Amino acid sequence: MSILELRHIGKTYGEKENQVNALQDISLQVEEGEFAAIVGTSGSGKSTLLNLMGGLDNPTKGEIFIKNREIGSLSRKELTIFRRRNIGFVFQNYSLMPVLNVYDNVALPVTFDRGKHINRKYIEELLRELGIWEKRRKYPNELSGGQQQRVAIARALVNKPHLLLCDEPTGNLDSATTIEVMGLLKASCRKYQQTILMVTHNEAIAQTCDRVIHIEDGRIVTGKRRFPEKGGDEEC
Amino acid sequence: MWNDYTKSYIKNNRASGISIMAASLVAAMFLSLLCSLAYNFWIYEVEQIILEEGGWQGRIVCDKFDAGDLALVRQFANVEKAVINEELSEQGEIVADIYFRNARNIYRDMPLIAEQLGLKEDSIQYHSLLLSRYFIHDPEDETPPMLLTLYLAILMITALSLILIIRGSFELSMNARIHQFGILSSIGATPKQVRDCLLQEAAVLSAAPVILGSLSGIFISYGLIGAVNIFAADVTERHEAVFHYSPFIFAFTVLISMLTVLFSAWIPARKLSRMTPLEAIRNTGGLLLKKRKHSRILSVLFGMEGELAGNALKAQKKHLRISTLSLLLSFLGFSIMLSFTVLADISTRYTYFERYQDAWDIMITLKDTEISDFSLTDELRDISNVQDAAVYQKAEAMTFLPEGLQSNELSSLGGLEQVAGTPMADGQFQVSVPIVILDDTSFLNFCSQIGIAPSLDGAVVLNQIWDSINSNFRYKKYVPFVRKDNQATVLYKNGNSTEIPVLSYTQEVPVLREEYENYSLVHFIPLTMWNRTLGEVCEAESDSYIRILSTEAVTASLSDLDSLEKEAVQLVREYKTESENRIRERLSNSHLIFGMRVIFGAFCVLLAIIGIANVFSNTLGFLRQRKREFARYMSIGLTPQEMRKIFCIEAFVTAGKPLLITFPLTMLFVQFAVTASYLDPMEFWAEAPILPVLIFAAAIVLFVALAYYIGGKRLLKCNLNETLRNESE
Repeated sequence: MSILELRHIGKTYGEKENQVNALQDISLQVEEGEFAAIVGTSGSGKSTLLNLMGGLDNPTKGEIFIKNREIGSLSRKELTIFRRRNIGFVFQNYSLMPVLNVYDNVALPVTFDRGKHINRKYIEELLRELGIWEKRRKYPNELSGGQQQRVAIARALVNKPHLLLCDEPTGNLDSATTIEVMGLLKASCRKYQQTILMVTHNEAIAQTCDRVIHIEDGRIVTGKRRFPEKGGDEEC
Repeated sequence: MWNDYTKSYIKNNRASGISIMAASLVAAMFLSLLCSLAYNFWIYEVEQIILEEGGWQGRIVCDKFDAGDLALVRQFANVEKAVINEELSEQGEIVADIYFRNARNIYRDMPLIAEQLGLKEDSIQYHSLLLSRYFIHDPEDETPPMLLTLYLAILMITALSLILIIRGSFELSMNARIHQFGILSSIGATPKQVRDCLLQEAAVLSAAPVILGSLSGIFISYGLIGAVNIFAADVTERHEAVFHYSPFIFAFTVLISMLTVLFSAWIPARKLSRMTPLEAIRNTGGLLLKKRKHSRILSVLFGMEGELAGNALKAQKKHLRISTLSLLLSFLGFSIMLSFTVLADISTRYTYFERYQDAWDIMITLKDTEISDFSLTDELRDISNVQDAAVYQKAEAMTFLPEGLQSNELSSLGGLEQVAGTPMADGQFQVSVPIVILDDTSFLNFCSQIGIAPSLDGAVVLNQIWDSINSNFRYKKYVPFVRKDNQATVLYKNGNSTEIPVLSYTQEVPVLREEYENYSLVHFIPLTMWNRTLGEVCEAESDSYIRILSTEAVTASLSDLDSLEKEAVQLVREYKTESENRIRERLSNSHLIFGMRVIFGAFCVLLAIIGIANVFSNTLGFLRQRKREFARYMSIGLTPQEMRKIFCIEAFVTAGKPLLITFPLTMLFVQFAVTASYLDPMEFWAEAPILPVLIFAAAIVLFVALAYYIGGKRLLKCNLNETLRNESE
């Protein structure tokens, strides 16, 4: 069963002579439990696509269905609530709240929904799983890049979302930490039966995923590539 | 959690918190001060009017008004009190004062009362001056007095500018956080949750400063009113101001300040609601120039650094507006106020103190006393140290002059028509005749002074008018008013007339501290003559005056005059009097001018503080954003020295702008005022307040430079490399 479906999505920035078509006629289906990578060069539109999927931005054309709900029809408030209950976000630059410690950063999305009724046990489990339980009282600026990204992943997982959207989650990390983070994402995908979509420009990392979606000049590329590949490819 | 987030944010962003708290404190303080002063000013005005004219609101003036009528008036539901004014009522004319419960309906109720009493509309009077102080105007009056409304408008505009300070400070801090709220929104915070968070934070930060500011405003206004009372203690006929306060004012100040705070916190929430979370995340709150601009002057003067500083200033223009405006207003206000008081001082010295230096030493006003009822003139002259004492009273009548009577000089200047308006049907011109009734001895002395045989059988006419064409008011030249043909003048008053023989025409005046109207025919008459003729047909002013000259004259000291004044007042103690002496008046005048300078100067200083506080809040508030700007400059090879230069240029422009605008404007003002008052410019420049103005300017420059120094030092201390690496954040 598909959890995410994009129908003829287009996104245009700017007006008149400054107009840029970031995405053109993108149609795509992602099945439940899938771990897919969106790969493309810088400026190809992959992050734009991810942001549209998460409802962080609005498409100029087309429709996006998540769990069979067209998110364009939701009000701002409905969309926010829908997002926090169904979608987790991991950003390349972590986007943690600098004024909150690790634990509070992770618990923050839960409090949006349930106020003070936080499942502390689950947060502890999550933090232990990600290896940052010992750091729970530290502030983001006291952590390394890898540790910050783990906090960001924990925060994204805390509401047990069905869909995890990761924008270059390993972009700022060294290779050893990259492997660790990828392992964590995969483990989480399996453990919580989540669907993960990850944007990366690193083909090698992409090849570790179940499926790779190539995007070039705002379009999904099917068939033959214009440039040689290191690993295997799947047609979309 | 939200509480934790707000607390942590406040704890970790002390600078922005302090800037908001300071802005709330300063603005609430000024708002409270302003409201309290305006309220006290209003109360004082009302008190003054009630003291001078009574607190009645409506009045009935008629020839018959008995107890039954009074009872009828009292039966009106809106009438609180109705009393016969015994003081003003006289034979054949009864005056009844009416006080209303709700004075707003007075213009509806008074005609009804008149109708019930069977009186005509012209029997009713309104205390329109007092009513206008309560914003009650005659609905049929198309041009009601709007002075109070004007004051209120000024108050509102000033309050608005204070409110903008709080708003500006909040906007600055909140804009920097749009990025953070974007992240919160992306992880599931609804717009309402973000708004609640902002409002909560705003309330936490501002509640205490707003209350504290409002309270300090009250204390400052209390102190100011006390200061005004001290400075104006010697001003005659002034009642002391008593500090008043109403809890409504406090509620109003706190409410307005808090509403402003909450409204300001709403701004980023409103901005957020118009953005997608992605746009909010990408918003780094940096300074952006919307249009391509060139700072030509700065780039010519300082090169590339000048251009960069100019662009940065333009990008901050909106935020710097309040500081520029308040610095400009404070400096402009300060220099113009000082120049004005110096000019006023010089002018008063010439027109009053120096002109009348020899005309009086002690003046005693005999309240409600006819000159004929005063019997101590000789005793006054007998006081040791009294060289001369004159007692006089003033009255007013008019006369009619035929064209043929005008002097040749007046004819050549345009004739009677120029000074007395259109002639009557019989070709005669109506001219006002101020009358000065002198005690007989003084009149005889005056006769001797002008060289005529002393006599009490007529008047001496001051035959002069100001030649306004060939001279200005400061250095007046006079020409004769009439030909000396007439041996008598017929004076008219209240439909009666009487003929007064003219002893002489003169261009000399008796030694009195009096200024006479420019185009009138002043008559000096002896008391005997007054009692015999004019006193029968026209009434004099209610007060009489005693002018005393001391034997020591110009060399007299304050204590000499004080003791002489005391002695004279003691002598006339059976009369109701008010007295003043020449030296004390001069001192109290200087005291008053000094007090005015202190109070207005303090107001300017406070305005400057607002401006400087704003510069501090901007310079330090923009630090986060400017870190990126400077990191980029550094990445393309700008040295710390050059960055310092940019800061120096910015400080120079921020502080220099109000100074550069003020100097020419003050010069223009001085030029205009000196020309308008026909003063010699050199006299002004000899006393020009150059030093205080320069000190004020230096203080502005110093504090602005300090703000930029602190901001610049902090910025250069930061790890700019790190900032550049985190540019994508």
